[in-house]
Amino acid sequence: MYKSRSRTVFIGFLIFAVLLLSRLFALQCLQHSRYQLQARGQQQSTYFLPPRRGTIYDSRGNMLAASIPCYSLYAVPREIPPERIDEIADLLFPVIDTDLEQIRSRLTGERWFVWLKRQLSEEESERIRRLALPGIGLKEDLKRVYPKGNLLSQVLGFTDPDGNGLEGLEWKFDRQLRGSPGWLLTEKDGARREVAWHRSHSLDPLDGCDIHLTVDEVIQSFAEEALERVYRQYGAAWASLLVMEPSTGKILALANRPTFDPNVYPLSTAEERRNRTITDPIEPGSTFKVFPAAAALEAGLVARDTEFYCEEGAYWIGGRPLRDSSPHGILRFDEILQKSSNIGMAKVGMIMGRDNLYQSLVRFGIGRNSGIELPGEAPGTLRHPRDWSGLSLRSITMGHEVSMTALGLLTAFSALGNGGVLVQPRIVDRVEAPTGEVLYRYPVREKGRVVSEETAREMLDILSQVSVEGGTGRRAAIKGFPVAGKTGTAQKLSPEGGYSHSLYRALYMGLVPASRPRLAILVVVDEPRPEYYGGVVSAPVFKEVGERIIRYLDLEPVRPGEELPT
Amino acid sequence: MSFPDQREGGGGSGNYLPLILVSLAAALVGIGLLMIYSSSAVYSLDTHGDRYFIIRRQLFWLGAGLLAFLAAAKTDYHWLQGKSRFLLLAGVLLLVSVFIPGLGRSGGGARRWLGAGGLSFQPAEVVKYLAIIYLADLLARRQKVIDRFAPGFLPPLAVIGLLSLLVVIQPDLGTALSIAVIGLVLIYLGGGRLIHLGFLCLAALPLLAVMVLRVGYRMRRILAFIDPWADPRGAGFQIIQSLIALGSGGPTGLGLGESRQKLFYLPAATTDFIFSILGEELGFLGTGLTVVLVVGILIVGFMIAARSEDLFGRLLAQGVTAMLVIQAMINMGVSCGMLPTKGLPFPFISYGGSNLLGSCLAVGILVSIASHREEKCRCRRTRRPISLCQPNQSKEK
Repeated sequence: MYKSRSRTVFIGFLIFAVLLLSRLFALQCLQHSRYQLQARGQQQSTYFLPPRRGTIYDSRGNMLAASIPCYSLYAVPREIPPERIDEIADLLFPVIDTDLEQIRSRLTGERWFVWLKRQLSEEESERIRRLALPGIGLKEDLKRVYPKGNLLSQVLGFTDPDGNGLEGLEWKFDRQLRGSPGWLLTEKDGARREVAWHRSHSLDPLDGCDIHLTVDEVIQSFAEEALERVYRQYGAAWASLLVMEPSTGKILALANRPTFDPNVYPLSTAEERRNRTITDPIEPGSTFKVFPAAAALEAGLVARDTEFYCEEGAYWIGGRPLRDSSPHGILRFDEILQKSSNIGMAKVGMIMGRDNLYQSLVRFGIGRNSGIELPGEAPGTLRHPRDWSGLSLRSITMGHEVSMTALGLLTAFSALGNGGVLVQPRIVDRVEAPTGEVLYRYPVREKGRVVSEETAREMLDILSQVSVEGGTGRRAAIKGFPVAGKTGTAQKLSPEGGYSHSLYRALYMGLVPASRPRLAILVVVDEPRPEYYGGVVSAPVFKEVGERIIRYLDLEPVRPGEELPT
Repeated sequence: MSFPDQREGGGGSGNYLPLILVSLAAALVGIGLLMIYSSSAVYSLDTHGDRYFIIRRQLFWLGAGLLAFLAAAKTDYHWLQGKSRFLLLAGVLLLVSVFIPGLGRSGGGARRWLGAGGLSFQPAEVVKYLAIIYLADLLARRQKVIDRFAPGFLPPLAVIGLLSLLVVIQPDLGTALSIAVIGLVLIYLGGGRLIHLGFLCLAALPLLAVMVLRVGYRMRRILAFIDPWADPRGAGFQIIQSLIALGSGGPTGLGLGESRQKLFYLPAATTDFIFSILGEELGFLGTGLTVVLVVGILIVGFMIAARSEDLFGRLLAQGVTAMLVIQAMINMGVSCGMLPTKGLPFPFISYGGSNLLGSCLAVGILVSIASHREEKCRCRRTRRPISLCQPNQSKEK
């Protein structure tokens, strides 16, 4: 009996051993991958290493937007002793500008991480560091700063606190500026501490690319200052100033009013953030006359000295009178532009005919996007002749029933300053890798000839008469540098329908020097009061900005002996 | 009673058993030291500023264990038989002493330890072997009345009950259960009637149920055993972490020292769950080998028992072997989720001085049983059939 009982006990143990072995085999060999996955899930964690966002420079290498290291404040609520929450909240209160109740609720609970305030200033982070509170920490972060404040703000745009571009170039070039994050695969122990010797894989972050603009910070500040003054002086609804280089399409300055400071963008309104220069199509008014005029000249339908009877200020066609601001008798073609006669231009347009006029305006790029690298560009409108009414032809010749953005207007005008060749405007010169290698350079893109070189030269010559004594744009004249320009005083469309007799938009656009234009400048002031003529409100802004740029660029005067006073 | 020199029996078929046993035990101790160092180094550094803090203590206890082993091996186990009552009394006193303030030490809500200086000692780890000695003696002495309830079944049962009770109030249900189970196995091997054992088991079930249900953590452990994922951060945490350790080790393991789970994921990584860390670092090869080593001890232990001439020697050898094996198997069973979580150390392997000392003592006793075989040895030398020795044996008794 003893032997059999021994055997029973022995076999019992053996059976259990076999069961153990099978269980271990199942766990370690058959279900290995499942448990391996679980082990990794709790042991490994991936940290993302944020890249530095690229910098935006002006054409001379001045920083316009940059990311700088800073600290952000966070809390680990589960590490904060509950009895100290009130005390800690009181200490943090002066740094965080939300209310105490909210701070307390963020500090309470079992969470592992919660942001308290992003991107502290240096003294703020120093204060937090000195407090040395439990469960409160500072994490390295990057802050997007715009050192020049509201300078070029609508073009630059801004990013959110996490570095995502939200508007402007920051949005449009987000992919280039952002860079790609690196990562660090590390292991953590059961107490969630990093196990340094198991740090296995890592990839350094790739910093974002830098963007170099065509804008010159100095020229931009001239524009901002002059525009600010006119915007305030005339209590304007808004204003816009654009400076371009006709031969290359480079935008040297682009300013808007009202404006905002992207460093504190949450305080701004949508109106202030609007880059009206490219998003708002406007009826260009008399400034538009240069395009039908150039087209008529190009077609050989008129010559410079062709005479037109200007009906002594009131011309009845289509059952309605067309009026000039001051009555004229017979005017030469160039005088029509100089005096900005609506009647004269209407007659020029009638000589050309609808289709001819339409075709040449299309060549100027009117009614289409210019192709600038900025978000939100509006194409404006130029209706097809089949949709024109009986009054459309005459309206269009004087810049109504047609709309274009300030950028589109100056781009088309610049073609005359570039020997008749239309050039696509651009604001981004090149994209550079963090190493300094140029990844992409935006080339000069010619979009075709709109008029012959001779016509262009002739038009500039005619338009340079606008800014002499007797012309509407005489206040734009710059000593030593003849200006080829055109004023515009557009009646605004009134909300009740039709054109308003109290709301105007004052425009001036000009090329300087007229003989070989280096600058194209457009000034738009919306609803100026009490003066509203383009020649009165906008032309002086052109002169001021033009003179300062000429001095800054140290251009050679065309008429020797008439140097600008320095 | 004579003390024959075992070397006189050189070349005999039973002589290699002590050597094999000691080798198996040494292998397990070696694995244990490696795993204790591996799983304790970071913890030691973290809490004591010295990565050798735990392994140094274990080495100290290994020295003590070697002394205990040598003493037990050199002593003729028949001497133990004569002193069994005294040993039992000493065991009871040891168990009671943990409740004496100043002597006893508590930890983790239990009073299981005796302290002296920086060292502490868990009497139950040694007392369980003293209990086996006494039970083996008792059962051998009462062979004639073993099939009767009052004189045969009840006395060993009372001893088992008393010791288990003293251990369970520490509380240490695991050790108490292992003492009870081994006690019953001994009664069974000693010839106790199955009907008595059967009824006892039926009677014990409600008691066990009450003990489990009345204590919250035991109940939660049972529930966690049934479905660890029901409470993965609470009661199921340990078993889940243990399974992750074993499973992620795979067939060949992450390599010695490469365990991740020992880094504060798996609680009791050096003691009750050291087998899981072993499985993580050495894989199925390591765990399989460990099971084989334990089975080896089982086989050798039972062979020693089979070759022992007297019933006391047989029961003692089987009891000691079963105690070692059952602890190892429960420990492994818990680690791989086959049994509910029960804090039992792995003999030889787990960190803990008393455990190592007790295991060494057990091996010493087995070696002693294998070596001190007076009659058989003499028979071998005279090359007479063993049957002819029987009269001799009876004459001496």
